[in-house]
Amino acid sequence: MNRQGFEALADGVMLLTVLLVASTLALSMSGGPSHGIAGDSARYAEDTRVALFRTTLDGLAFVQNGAAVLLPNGTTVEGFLRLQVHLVSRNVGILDFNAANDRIAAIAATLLRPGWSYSVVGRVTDGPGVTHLPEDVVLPETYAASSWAYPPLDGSGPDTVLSLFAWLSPRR
Amino acid sequence: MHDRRGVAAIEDLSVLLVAVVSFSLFFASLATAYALRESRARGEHLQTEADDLLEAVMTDPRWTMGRGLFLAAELQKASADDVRGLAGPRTFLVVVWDLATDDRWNFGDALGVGDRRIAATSANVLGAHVDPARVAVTVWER
Repeated sequence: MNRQGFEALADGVMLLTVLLVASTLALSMSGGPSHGIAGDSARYAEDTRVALFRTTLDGLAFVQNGAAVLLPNGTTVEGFLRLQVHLVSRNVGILDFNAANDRIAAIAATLLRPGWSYSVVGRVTDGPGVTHLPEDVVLPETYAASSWAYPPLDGSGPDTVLSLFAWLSPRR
Repeated sequence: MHDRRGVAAIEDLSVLLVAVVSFSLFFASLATAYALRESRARGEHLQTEADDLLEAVMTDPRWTMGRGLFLAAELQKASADDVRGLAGPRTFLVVVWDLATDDRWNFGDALGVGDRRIAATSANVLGAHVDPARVAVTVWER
């Protein structure tokens, strides 16, 4: 092969390289990230929070200083959680909400679509979480949140904030 | 090969081969990219339709009392034709599932053809109590 032949072959290799790069670019640009997923998650968290908090239950109760306190039938989950945060944040004796919280956690778990996990946190404004459903859940790096603030039940002190966090956690 | 014309022909042939392979790869990847893009656009369009139908079902005053609060008695009276007006020409299936009583209200049918997209969210059904519920909408391409 003479010099002209090598030059032609070099041109061919150059063409191959350029077109390979162009092909890679074309393929990579065809599969960009799907937009709107973050917005969908936020809306789903909002819907789930509203649906959970609006749910009414009969026979909700808690234990205060060893005595069972029964709430009226038809109490909303929201009302119960507000009361719980109110009482716990004010340290009014020894409180046990576990039985009712387990019922609420079971409802939340069935409400969520398969593959989703959740956490409900109740706190007073600027305070740490005093109610966690389920207990000992660590939030992942990315999640969608929906919160609502309520005035204190007795009209004094900080507001109560109830939040629902939802995230996609595929089964391993 | 010592013939100069023969050598030149072999050189031309190798360059031609490289060019053909290059352009074949390039056009094949262009076609693939186009097909992927179209498929993705169709899927997103279908998902938007499913989302829109879900939103329409969640807010329709004929069977809801506020967004996502379904009335059990009104769901009982509703039919697939009522939902069809919201769904457009596509095949659809809307399922409202009361998680407390396990009652399900289905509108439409699951006999669609082609690609499908699902939109689902949480809601409530108001009967004797306010029960937790799930609403799922499936929309088929045809």
